[in-house]
Amino acid sequence: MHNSNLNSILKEYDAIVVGTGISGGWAAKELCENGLKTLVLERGRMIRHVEDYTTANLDPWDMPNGGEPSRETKERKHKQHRTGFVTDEAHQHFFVDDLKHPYNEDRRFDWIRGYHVGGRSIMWGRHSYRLSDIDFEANKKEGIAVDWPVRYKDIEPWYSHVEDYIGVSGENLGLKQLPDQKLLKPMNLNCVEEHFKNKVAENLNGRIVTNGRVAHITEGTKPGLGRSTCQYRDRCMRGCPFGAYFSSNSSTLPAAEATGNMTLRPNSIVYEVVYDNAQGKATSVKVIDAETKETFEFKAKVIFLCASAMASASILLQSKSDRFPNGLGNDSGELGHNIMDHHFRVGASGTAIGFDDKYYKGRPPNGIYIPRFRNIGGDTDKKEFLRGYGFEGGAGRGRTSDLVAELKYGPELKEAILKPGEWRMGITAFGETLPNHNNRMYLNYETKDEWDLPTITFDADFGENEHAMRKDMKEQAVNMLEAAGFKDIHAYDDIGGMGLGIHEMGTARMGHDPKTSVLNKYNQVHACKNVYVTDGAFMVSSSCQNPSLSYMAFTARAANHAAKEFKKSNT
Amino acid sequence: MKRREALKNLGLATGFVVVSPSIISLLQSCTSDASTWTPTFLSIDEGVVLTNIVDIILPKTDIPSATEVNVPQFIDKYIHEVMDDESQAQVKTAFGNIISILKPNAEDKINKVTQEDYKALLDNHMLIKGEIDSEREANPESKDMTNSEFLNNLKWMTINAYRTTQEIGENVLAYDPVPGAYYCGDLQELTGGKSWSL
Repeated sequence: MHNSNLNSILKEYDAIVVGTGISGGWAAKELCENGLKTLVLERGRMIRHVEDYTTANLDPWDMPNGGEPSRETKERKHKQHRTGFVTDEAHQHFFVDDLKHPYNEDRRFDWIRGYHVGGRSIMWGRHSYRLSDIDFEANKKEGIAVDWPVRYKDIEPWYSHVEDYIGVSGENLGLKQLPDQKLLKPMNLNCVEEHFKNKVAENLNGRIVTNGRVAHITEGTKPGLGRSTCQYRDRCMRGCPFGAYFSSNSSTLPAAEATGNMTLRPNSIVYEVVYDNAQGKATSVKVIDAETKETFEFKAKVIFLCASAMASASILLQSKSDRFPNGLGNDSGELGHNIMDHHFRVGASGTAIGFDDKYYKGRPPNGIYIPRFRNIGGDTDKKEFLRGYGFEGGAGRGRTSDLVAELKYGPELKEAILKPGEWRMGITAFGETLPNHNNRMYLNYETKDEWDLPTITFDADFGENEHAMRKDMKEQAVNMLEAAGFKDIHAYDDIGGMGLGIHEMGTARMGHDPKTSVLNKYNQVHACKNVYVTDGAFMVSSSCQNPSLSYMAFTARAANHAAKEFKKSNT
Repeated sequence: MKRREALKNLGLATGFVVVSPSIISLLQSCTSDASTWTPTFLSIDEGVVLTNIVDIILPKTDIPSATEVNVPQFIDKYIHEVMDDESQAQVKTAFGNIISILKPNAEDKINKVTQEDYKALLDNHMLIKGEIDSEREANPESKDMTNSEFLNNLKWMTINAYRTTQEIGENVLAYDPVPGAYYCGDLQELTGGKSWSL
């Protein structure tokens, strides 16, 4: 129906990239640096590095209600608010308005996202770990879903390529389940975290507690728009005026722009990839301007979908043709299926005794990481569940003295509210979720958005393996805090909705066989090889490591593959 | 259990803001003129009660009192702009309950309530750690706040509002907007024993 008012094609490009987040930024950079004239389409508004980080330097007293989410924000962003934190005044403007951007839930799904240049690369958690062959081989070994068509040796150079460019801080440990990386010096642990690290190793058979590996510069600089070292303000989600952590806005998009090959068009909602049966490939994408609602069609020889696992799958599902009646590349029927996220919100906290005279300077945007220690061979193998989990966590002091709870009013209370409280250490597990064909999203043509496009309906949830794993996660959290001698230990397990991990994956998985997968080993749509999908959609299994670094590495690899193919066909 | 958690958390939210730092409240005692500050959400009487209670909780010492940094205004605005309908209704009911304790005769003017009356309210009805809330035990499923739950919420809202003002955040607590480094050290050497404001 949008075809009726399509404008004439404005321009032809060598490549089109859909999306400007973690993946889109990398696709843009690599394609442009390879000399391809690239149109980068972003459905949201422009965000310029530093100047559009409007809240970056605000203290709580500079914001309404100290930065608490207003009831209006909570009403308009009611699904985003399920996280409990993204609607805070300091960064709520980077998350979508659920009334303007609705989706439907056969089963609860928390789709947490932002529509603007840079996407979630502005608000991401920044933990950056490599997957290992334990991850790449797991599906095949266990007969789960399909095999990854990639092994660690294939992607290893691209991890290095990405890490060198973005800057990741942390500590190499030589672990088979958590490969060494190109790392800048780690951030410091505080004294209670150091104590925890030593006691866990001492009492739990050498179990490792390390510094989170995060995409922050801790020494020197990195290329981009003025990137310098972390100032320990812990205001990352607002956008960093120091460019200390990696975002598309500070790093990859400026690199793409510097080549002179990039055209960036914000407010551009891509809703279809046009397939030409005669040529056997995609020839263009259709776009609606988010503000004017004008429609356009842009031609290109190569198309990269980096719109996020859900949005890229949605675009492919909308791209119907005689050859692909169920959506472009959906010969297998797997498109939109196999949704994964990480399950978390399980762990424990405890009070550290004996550190009352200690405090810290700085607010680290990071903490400790406990690499996976289950099902990695030998006596680590558990029969209760497959795969494994890691922990993130940290220690800090309460903002007010614990005396506050014992006083009602008066000068003594007033003194107590100005002094730091007890040391608490908390750890939260992040676990692998198995792929399951029944976990899916599909298009709802009955309920359309204001651009007359179908909305997404989710039908997914965690399964038995995840729930079995959570028992062990909780037990081990308590074990470790006890091993460190902490008191007043509270364990919790509140799984919440799928999606809260904000690690959606799997809707267009890779595989060897076009009958059971959507993408090949280079992230190309099996039956339409000039379309690449390099966001979380391609993931075949979820691992328990945070996925963004893998999206970057696979995107860089795919973009260089595409550039090579492009040059071959042009010579 | 979830509901009781929600009640408990009502007053634990951090953060309020200085709306108009130039306004120094004149409502420091029960005899002052209530018309100098008109609450947005609360009634005049509730505003008077709130103003008196926050200054008993955090009175003037060598650093400002709660009213001197506009804590009552912050709390009134916070209830109005942050809390949902259900929470707002709970606050209204709870204020009604404590006002009927403060002046059992509904005809009396709120200005007749003395400092001693307010202190007696807190002494008798605000329970602290370890004390048992018999009002809650008698009505475990009630959606309304008990007097103790409400007064403790007020206490924490007062504390959080106070700590989140510019005056206290920048000049009284240890303030460090751009630390530039992260390390552990001695509490006295780092902040003189104070808590960080950020």
